[in-house]
Amino acid sequence: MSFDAVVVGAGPAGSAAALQMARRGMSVLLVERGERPGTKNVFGGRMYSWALEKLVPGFRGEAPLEREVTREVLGFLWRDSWVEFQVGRGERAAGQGYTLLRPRFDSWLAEVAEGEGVTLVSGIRVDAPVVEGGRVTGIAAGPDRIAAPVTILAEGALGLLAEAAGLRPPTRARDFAVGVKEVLELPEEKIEDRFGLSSGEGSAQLYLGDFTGGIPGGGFVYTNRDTISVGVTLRLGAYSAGEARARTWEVLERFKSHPRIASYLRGGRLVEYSAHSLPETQYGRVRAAGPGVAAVGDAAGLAANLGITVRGMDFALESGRLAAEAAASGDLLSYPRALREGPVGRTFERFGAAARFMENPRLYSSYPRVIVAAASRSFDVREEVRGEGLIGIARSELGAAGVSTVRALLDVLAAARSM
Amino acid sequence: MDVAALVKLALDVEGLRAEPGEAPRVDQAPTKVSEIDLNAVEEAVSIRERVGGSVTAFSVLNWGPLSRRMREAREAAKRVLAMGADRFVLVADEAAVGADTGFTAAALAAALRARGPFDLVLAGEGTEDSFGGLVPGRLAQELGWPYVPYADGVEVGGGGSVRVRRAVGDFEEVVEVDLPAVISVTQEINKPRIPTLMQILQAGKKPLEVLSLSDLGLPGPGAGRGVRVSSVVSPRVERRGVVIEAESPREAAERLVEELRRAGVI
Ligand SMILES: Cc1cc2nc3c(=O)[nH]c(=O)nc-3n(C[C@H](O)[C@H](O)[C@H](O)COP(=O)(O)OP(=O)(O)OC[C@H]3O[C@@H](n4cnc5c(N)ncnc54)[C@H](O)[C@@H]3O)c2cc1C
Repeated sequence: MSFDAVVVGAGPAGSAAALQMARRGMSVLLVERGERPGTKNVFGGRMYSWALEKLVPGFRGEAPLEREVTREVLGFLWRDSWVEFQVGRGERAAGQGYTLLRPRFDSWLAEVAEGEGVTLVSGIRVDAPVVEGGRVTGIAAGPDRIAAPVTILAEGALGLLAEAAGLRPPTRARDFAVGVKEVLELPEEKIEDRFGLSSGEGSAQLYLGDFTGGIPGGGFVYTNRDTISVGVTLRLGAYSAGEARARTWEVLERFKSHPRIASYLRGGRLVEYSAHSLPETQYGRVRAAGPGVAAVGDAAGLAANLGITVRGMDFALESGRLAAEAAASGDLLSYPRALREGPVGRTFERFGAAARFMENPRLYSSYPRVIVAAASRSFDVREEVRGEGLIGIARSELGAAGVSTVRALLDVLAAARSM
Repeated sequence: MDVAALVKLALDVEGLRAEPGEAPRVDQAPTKVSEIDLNAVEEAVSIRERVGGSVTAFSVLNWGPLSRRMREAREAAKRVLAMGADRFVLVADEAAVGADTGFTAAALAAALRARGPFDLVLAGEGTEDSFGGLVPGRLAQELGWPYVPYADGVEVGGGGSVRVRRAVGDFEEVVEVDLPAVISVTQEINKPRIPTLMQILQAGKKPLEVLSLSDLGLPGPGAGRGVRVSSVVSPRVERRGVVIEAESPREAAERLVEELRRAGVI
């Protein structure tokens, strides 16, 4: 049995690559180790949809999407108080993305690929790429070898096969971030009432605050159709993996019991929970292609880890599509360039500044307090009028938090530059 | 020897969601090949490997909605074919959804006659969703063949019979049965093989035949409801919700022991 291309991993990157190669007339084998695509992926989050738009233009009517994100919330929590900045889009803004659940989404995309003629085999783990004379010539799985002129590695963040193929340096044991998430079930109408959404609309909400105990990281709340995903992400470089997880659960409990967050979640029934280490951003450290082989998605280091959230599904889909186009053109080695010069590369070029900004410790300790305290004081009405202006209030709160005004102004500038 | 293996797409009980006191949401739960049926398939394939012949898997879809179950059935068929079955015959018909074991057995008998003859039918001793264990016996009756339940071993000699080993209570029984016969197997009989990539790929080329009840000349709706399920509810599990708060782990442990004593658990 022979194929023009073998793809390892039926996540968004692998299915996208397989689908596009099949459309270009190639015979494609897609191998997934999970019993079904998506079973090993338990994220409930938000996908920016521009890349899917290019890959499957009619996806809106077909894909198992939960809600279209029309609301963005950035919130600051301090003790029992909070400030939320909400951005609402009156008209549905195409490309801003959807909340979705991965098991359903991943199996759908793999089915679309099968519909284009891709041969999908689930429940099989690929052990290694076959490397002969500096060229990848196929894959090895158990007793079997499958030879193919093109091998696409879409195995996700661990990237062991990409490492074996010589595309990726060994994974560094450096700072890592841990995310924990719960999925709570609530009736559709309740979710819509609570979040002020109309049918089909969704909200993506990120929070910074004292609930992390000063550890860099934050919390998120995403509305799905009849569930809510709630979780926290923490950078816990100093802890062992086990300890880090235990810590993270504590922080999640604190986040969930904050009055603001609790008001969203009340009465929700826990249907799923999961813990994950977050992929490091590896852009630039991974060679995207070599003779006979290309890496796509997280295997190519294309996850943008911004501290609280990770963005990677859109990059996975786009990189898969680009690698497929390169493979179909007969020049796989043109893929890294297409990737670099396209939207993925351009985003990552600018990503460094944002990531550095998110490392600012004041973001996780002083600022939530300053913002919440200053905002609530500016609405305070007592018997006497105190007559401080907003600037005066901000100043005194910064002082109370031990941050100089100049420092704060510099941080605001850095924020503006990195966004 | 031409062997038939019976394969049920059973509800995946782990995927079943329900509020206590309410009916589980069966339509939303996934299905998968019932584990013990994989032992039946394994045994059938290993018999063919020993003495030659063929293996045909038969399945009647019991759970709806059909649109969704067909996809799951194709996956299930692929798995069984990858294990080494030569072909898969699937009876899929709205009218068979929710039918009782008598109707399932009649549909299987009709399919076996239509695609036979067979020397031996192997089935799991029960399926993991309802565990009635009735279908193999009722099928034997439909076919007028002898039936040996709970086999831990099947030995195929020459001639027209097989020897079956059964663990019955604390002794072992060896039965010799004339063919054709129906045998149900336990999970102890073998360890189902896990197909390799190549075997799964080859399975894609093996025949999967889908039959409706009318293909088999069987009557439509209304038939086969001798047994009706009047209600299915998930049990209420009461939690006491005791939270122990203590200064030290030692104190917490002591209070936990006390609490467990009081509850009569220890
Ligand atoms: C906690 C968390 C939250 C996230 N939140 C978001 C978010 O809100 N928005 C967003 O856009 N991104 C998010 N991401 C990132 C996103 O999940 C990834 O960028 C994306 O899944 C990458 O897709 P992929 O196809 O490259 O890899 P994956 O989705 O990881 O898929 C890899 C597939 O390969 C299979 N596989 C692995 N090894 C083998 C093998 N040896 N043989 C066969 N198959 C194999 C796996 O089973 C898996 O199905 C999040 C990530 C994490 C960890």
